[in-house]
Amino acid sequence: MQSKVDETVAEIGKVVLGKDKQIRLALCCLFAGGHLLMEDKPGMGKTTLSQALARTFGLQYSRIQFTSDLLPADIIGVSIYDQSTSSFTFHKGPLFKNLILADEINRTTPKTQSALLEAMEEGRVSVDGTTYALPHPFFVIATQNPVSFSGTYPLPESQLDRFLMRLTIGYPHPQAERELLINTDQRANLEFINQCLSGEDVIEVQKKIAKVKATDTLLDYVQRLVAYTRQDDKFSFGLSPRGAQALMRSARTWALMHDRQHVLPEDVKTVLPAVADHRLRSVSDTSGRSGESWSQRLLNEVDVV
Amino acid sequence: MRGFHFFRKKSDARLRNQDYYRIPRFAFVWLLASVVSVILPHVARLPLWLTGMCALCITGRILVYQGRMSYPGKQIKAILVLTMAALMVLQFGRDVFSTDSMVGVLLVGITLKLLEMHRKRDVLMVLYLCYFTIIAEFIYSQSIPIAIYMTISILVISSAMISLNQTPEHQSVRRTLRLAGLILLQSAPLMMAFFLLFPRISPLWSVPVQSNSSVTGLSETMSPGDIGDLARSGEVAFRVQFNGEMPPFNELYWRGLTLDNFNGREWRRGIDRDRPQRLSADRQEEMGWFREIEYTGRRYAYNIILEPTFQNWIFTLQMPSILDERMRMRRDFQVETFRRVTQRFSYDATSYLEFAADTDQRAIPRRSFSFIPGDSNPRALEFAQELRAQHDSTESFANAVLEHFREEEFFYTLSPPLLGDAPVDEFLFETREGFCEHFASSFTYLMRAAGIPSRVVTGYQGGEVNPYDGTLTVRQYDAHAWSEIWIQDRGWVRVDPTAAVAPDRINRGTDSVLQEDNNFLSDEVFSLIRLRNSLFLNDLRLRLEMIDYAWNRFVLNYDQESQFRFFSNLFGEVTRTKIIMVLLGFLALVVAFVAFTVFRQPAYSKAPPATRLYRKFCAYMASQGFPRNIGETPMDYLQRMSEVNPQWTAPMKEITQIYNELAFVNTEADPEQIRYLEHKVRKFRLLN
Repeated sequence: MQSKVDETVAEIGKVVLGKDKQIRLALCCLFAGGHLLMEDKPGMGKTTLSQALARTFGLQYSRIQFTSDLLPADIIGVSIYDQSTSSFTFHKGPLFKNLILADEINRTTPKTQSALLEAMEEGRVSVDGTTYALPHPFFVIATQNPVSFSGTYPLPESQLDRFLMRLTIGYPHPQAERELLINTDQRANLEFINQCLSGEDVIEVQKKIAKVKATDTLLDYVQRLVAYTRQDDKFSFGLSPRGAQALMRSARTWALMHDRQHVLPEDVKTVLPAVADHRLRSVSDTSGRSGESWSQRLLNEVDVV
Repeated sequence: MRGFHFFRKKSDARLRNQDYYRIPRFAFVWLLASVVSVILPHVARLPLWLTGMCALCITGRILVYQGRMSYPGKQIKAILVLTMAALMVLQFGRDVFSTDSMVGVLLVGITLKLLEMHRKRDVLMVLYLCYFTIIAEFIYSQSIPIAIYMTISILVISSAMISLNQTPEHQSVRRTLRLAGLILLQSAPLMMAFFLLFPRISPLWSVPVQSNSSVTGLSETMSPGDIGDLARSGEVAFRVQFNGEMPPFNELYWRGLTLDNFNGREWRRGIDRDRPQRLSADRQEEMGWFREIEYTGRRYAYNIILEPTFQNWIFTLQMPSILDERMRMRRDFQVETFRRVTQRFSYDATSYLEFAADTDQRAIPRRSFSFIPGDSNPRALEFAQELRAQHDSTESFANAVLEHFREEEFFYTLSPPLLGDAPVDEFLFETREGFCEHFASSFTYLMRAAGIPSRVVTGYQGGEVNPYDGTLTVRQYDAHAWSEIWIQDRGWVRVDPTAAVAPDRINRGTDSVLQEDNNFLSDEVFSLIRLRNSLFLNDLRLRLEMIDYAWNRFVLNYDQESQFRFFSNLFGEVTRTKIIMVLLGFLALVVAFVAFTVFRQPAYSKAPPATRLYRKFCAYMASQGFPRNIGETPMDYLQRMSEVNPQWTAPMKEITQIYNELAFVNTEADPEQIRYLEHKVRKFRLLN
């Protein structure tokens, strides 16, 4: 498993330079069967990373650029009257793929956002009274700009909660940036990314996740973390049970990605910022923009043993 | 046209709008309820304008809350305070430092503070004041209904405090009340302990109240009609609990005052010749006349809880033999306390119904006990002297007079005709209708007219036995007057002329005789006692009285003395140090309990043995100056330590690996491995 992961990371690393940890977390998220949200300023490589991910998985993917005039029908599909058969036929939209790259999801209206998020939660869509199952596995990798940027419709907490992880990519390391500047067209490399994994691999990993052990001592630690977010005045609300589940699932996947059959506190600590940051809000934060410092603080104030 | 010009629109310069604390609506309602509940019990006692002012302030506060009015400015506040102060002085005048006015000041303070509640601190202050003021009600009344009311009031105030700290989704009345109730219940053990153990400082509660209020009860003098007035009232005079058997009903003469000075119309107390005496259990120690009383027959011990009389004399069953040290008996057998009875007074006494006192002729001043003003009631005087001539002994003369009352048409009634300047003459020969004081007065007069030393005694006779707790309740309508005559060799002998006229009064109680009388219980319009004919209601009344008695006896009556008794029962001899030790011990217990609940770790973090060992190891490392950071995993810690302190790397690595294995890899703890870890930790501590 680990070798496969390393290989994938190296492959993606060809286009996204010096962001090994983010790549691994993104992989972890997809292995765990969760949807991924990437939030950063424009031009940080969100789209590149998500496209690279799609390619390495070899999944059918479609990229949807979310704009303010995008309508639900644009992504789900429409029923069109067919004169030859004298009936309506449903034309599937771009959503019917294994992997959706939802670019700049917070630039579209809440109406379209919820159409996508419903699909994410249920794994199917309903149009004109007919329910269509989405392919399996079904992933959404969404990117968004920070909320404070103009022309955005921030996702409400309930919808943020649907994303297993939220990643920020951050500025590249100077060395990586130098390399980026030397190469004239990094994006062109996307074409040369090899497929390292398959949809079956993902399904297999997901089966294994349930078998990763978590001891009482570890669960104690996780519960302490969760309880801390609920009790401490600094947070306006704590982690939900779904958030706690997401944390454990991610930690298990992380352990599995390192060929371990048991979860270590290190796993929890590694995945926690990605899993918890978008689910927490500090009391002083009124804009809905939560910073990384909060989960870091959590890790520094809750003892492991 | 919104808003009042009366109040300044501009907000206080120092306090900008955003500095105002906006009380949550839910909490605001609770707060108002608390304030009203505090004011309510005092309304009847306070002057009307004060209640009005309170209502005005509360209304003002509501208007401020609704935004229809702004907070009053400095001048308005100053004017309000000065007006209140002036009104207070006007109202209470010299009594400005009385309890009533102080309570008034507190209430005014609370309501005025309402008008300048800007911050959360102010709201809390109002609530604390409410807690404080609610206690003031205890100065006036300590009955069960008041106690219940106060408990509810405290519940409301506590709810107000809780609601200040609630999030909107928790704001339900039931939930808040339940939490407040829970907190109150939790504090109940503490309250009990303080009630039982906290030193009782009596002067603190002896606040002078109602010094000039009118209390129903026997007065120091007796003229025709006085006792009849008492029969209008069903108020409790005192309650008696006998230790053992109760005397027969017709022997229940509760002696109060001895009246031996007659002016032709009114009986008064005479002048004391001898010093009042203590009546202690050890009679040999007593000096003086008390030793000469001879007690025979059965001995009755009992406890009396006397309602406040604002007099210094109390009631005992004749003749008392043992009284506690707070009481003295006068030469005329009247029992007195040192201080006026201004609150419920409980005392134990022992009495004998058969006794002989003052048998020796020298013991009494004959002349003053047979004095009558010469010209007051001439016809009665003549009648007595004629009758006396026909009988040779005192006893037969007295019997003849009683016979006269019985044979002639005398009526026992609550509403006798008014009597003029010669009441005895008028009663004996014209009206012939009277209450016990008419009979006692006339009889004593006739005795004196015949030269027999005699006097009038007032007190109570009878009572009502409560079948549920066996207590005897004596009410104002049981007030009675009778005579005492002095007979050579027998001493003072009680003669009750009423018994001759209305034997039922003595044998069955006042209510059995006066049931039909319109004046009987005419003061008790709404009282349950009027409905004594309904079996159910009477039963209910008796049960309520039983509860009330228990409350009086065990709660209100728990004073310094009972506390000492309780204490010595528990801990033996009572010493100052011991009391302090027990109090401190109890306090420590409370603190320990609180500390326990605060610091007790949640159940899920009860650490398994391996974790405890690892923690021990970390504690040792910390003592060596290398603590593990909070949130640092064992592996990170090892990593960091190996850079700081390379010589420890190997043993620490071993410990960390075993621990990691135990804590995070194995779901089932292997005892062997735990022992191994323990061994390693011990070894590490020894070697490093």
